[in-house]
Amino acid sequence: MKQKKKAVAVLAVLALALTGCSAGATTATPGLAINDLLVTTPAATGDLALATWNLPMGEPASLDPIKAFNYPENTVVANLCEGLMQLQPDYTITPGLAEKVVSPNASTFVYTIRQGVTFWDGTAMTADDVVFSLNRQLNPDEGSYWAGGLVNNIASITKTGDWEVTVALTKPDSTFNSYMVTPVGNVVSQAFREAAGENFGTPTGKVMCTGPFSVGDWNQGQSISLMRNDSYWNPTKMAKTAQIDINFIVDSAAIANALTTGAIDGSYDVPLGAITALKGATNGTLYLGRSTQLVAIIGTGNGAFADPAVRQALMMATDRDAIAATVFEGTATASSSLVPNNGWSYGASTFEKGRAALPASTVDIAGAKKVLEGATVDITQTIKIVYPSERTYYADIISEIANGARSIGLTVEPEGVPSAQFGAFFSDSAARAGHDAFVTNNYMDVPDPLAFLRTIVGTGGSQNYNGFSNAKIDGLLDQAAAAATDDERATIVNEIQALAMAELPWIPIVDPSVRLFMSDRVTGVPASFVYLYYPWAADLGASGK
Amino acid sequence: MMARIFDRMGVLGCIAIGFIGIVLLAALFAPWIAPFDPTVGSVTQRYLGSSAVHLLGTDQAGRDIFSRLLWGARSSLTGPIIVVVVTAIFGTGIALIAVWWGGLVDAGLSRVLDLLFAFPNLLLAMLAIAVFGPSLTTAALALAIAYIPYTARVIRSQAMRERNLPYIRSPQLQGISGTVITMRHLMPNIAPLIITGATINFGFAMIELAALSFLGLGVQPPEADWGLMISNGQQSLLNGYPAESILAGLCIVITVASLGYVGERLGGRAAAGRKA
Repeated sequence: MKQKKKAVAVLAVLALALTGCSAGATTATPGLAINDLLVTTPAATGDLALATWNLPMGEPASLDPIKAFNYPENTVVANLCEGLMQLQPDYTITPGLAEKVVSPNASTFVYTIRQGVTFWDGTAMTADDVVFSLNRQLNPDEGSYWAGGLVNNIASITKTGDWEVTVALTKPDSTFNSYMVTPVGNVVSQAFREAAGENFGTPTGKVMCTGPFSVGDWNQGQSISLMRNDSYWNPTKMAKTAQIDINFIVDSAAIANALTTGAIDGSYDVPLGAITALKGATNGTLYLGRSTQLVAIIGTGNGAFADPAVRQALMMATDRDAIAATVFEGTATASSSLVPNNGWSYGASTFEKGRAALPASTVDIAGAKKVLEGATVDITQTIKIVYPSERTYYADIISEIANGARSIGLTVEPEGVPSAQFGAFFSDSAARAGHDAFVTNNYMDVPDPLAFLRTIVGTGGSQNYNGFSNAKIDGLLDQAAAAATDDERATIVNEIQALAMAELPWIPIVDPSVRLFMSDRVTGVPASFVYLYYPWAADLGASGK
Repeated sequence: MMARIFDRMGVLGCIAIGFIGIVLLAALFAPWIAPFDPTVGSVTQRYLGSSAVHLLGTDQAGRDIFSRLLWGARSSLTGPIIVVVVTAIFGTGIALIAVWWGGLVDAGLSRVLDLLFAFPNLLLAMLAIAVFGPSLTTAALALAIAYIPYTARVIRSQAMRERNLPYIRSPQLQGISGTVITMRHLMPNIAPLIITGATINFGFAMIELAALSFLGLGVQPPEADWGLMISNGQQSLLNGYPAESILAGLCIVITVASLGYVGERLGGRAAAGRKA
């Protein structure tokens, strides 16, 4: 009998311990002042022989720049292959493998190629390599993931001098040059590419570029080693660490353990599940950086979600501030636009005014109900929002959207699918058939709202998944692309933004900041969202602590 | 009656039966017992501690954990019931056909069962889910197919022995049909084995279905399911809120252990009965 009582007592204590004894156990959610977001971390004070990093989104599928179209590939390739232009941590764009660019009009870009640049094997980079590399984007046999949209607008790529390459466009596009920071503008060795054949970019074939690091060992499923390029053409940007081993740990708990124990020195995109553990880490710092990312719900054109009034009402009824504060643990801000906050490298004051003119992110149930009255679809249909089931925080976001929906008479349900199946939603219309909407953690390729909006609301845009088409918006997109000045372009883009927010092909939810953790041993990498196209690893060095 | 059960099952057996009873009641009466809708919550109410309103607190989506455990008992029991019923019907049927006809029929069916044995249970379930999409029914039916060979083989060996005993041979010599002999004489004598096997399979099925839900391949959010709750609770666990994962895990462990113990006792009693 005594034993039974003891067992009951133990169970009672266990239950109390597990659940907490009072209602005061809510998560502490530090406020996130957008102006406090970092651009860089403290500069490195010395060199390192070895550092370890992690890719929480998993192993790259290829290191071929034209196949680099997602977080894992771009985070690695950014350190290996360079573009004609280079994105800087403050989102400015500076010359890269091109010494300078001249654009007599928005349809022509003349690049003067930098001399004295060598590939890792010591061979010199020439204008022929540049022409070959840019033309790879247009060659269907190469299978560039960047094909379409911007690339389709290229009329010709011509060597117009020993060290000069001219790109002509079919119609004016002032954003073109900014894409030279992405893999669209990356240069690879023509001789190496042709010799490697189908192995190019794979663990056996690897790549040949000019960046501050070359590829070392690639242990599939485990890690890739970046080896410092001691013959790098730009001595002022020589890598500070001789070798960086990049691991592919994807489990939140394992990442938190590896980072807090110092087994891994740092990581971008630390999972939300690891935030609490990393905030309390004694061996390093969690940095929140300026970002151009956006979490949104994308309509497929099916079901009740196809009605703009339904989408507008859903957005107004959703507590986006609560999602930012709780699901993202204060590392994101509620979004009021399809353009991520501060996602621009020109026209700042104009864009800020445009953003301020948009409705605030606060919940407006009465307003949402009124908007919903204008819906022309059957609003009793359940709206199913698809998400990758491995990422449970999406279910929490959709659950909060469902709460708002319920309060205005709509029904929203999450629909989890395996990640492998979810990926097809972005590339295959057949995969989207029969589904109403899906989540996205999206980002701007370049800090230009025009370039981003064009993919979403432009007819045939690369991220226009619901057949959205608005003649007025299309006209304004063309007008902005041909604008003579940045201010003029920004003003037109504000107009597009306002129209897009009225039609709402996507529902913006939050703007997540960059979540970067580094042990006290290392420092120097940018904290802003440039690590997909900027050689961040070259800045990684000893902290002196 | 109670004394008889106590005598047959012992103290631990009675505790196990009591727990199984509680789980069954929770599953049956969840709509009336649960204080909250298990699928509804707000992130503004996340990680609330234990209180008079939320007995076991709330999860990361602000849903009442107690309500989710009660409703979770439904799917956590429904899946294994599908597995056990399908397995018992088809496993027993295949075994009895193989034993009664013997020869080529027995050899043929045995080879088919060998083939099914080659597939690990979870792999077979994942293949089915990849084809038909994730759901509790798909996962349960796929697991049932994977379990049939185990059940069929065990029952076949027992039925084979019974087949040659006089109480089966004698009516056969009298010209009574095989179906009648099987249903009237053979089945009652192998029934304890079927029940014991089903009880033990129930536990295994519950664990494997929980694993599939954990992987996102079984019950889908926002529905309540113990396996899914363990999966959902991973992030909370890291954040210092272990209640959801651990309580759901405890429910699975204690239910499976209870079923296993009861199954063992039933098996033991059946064997003892045969010896007597």
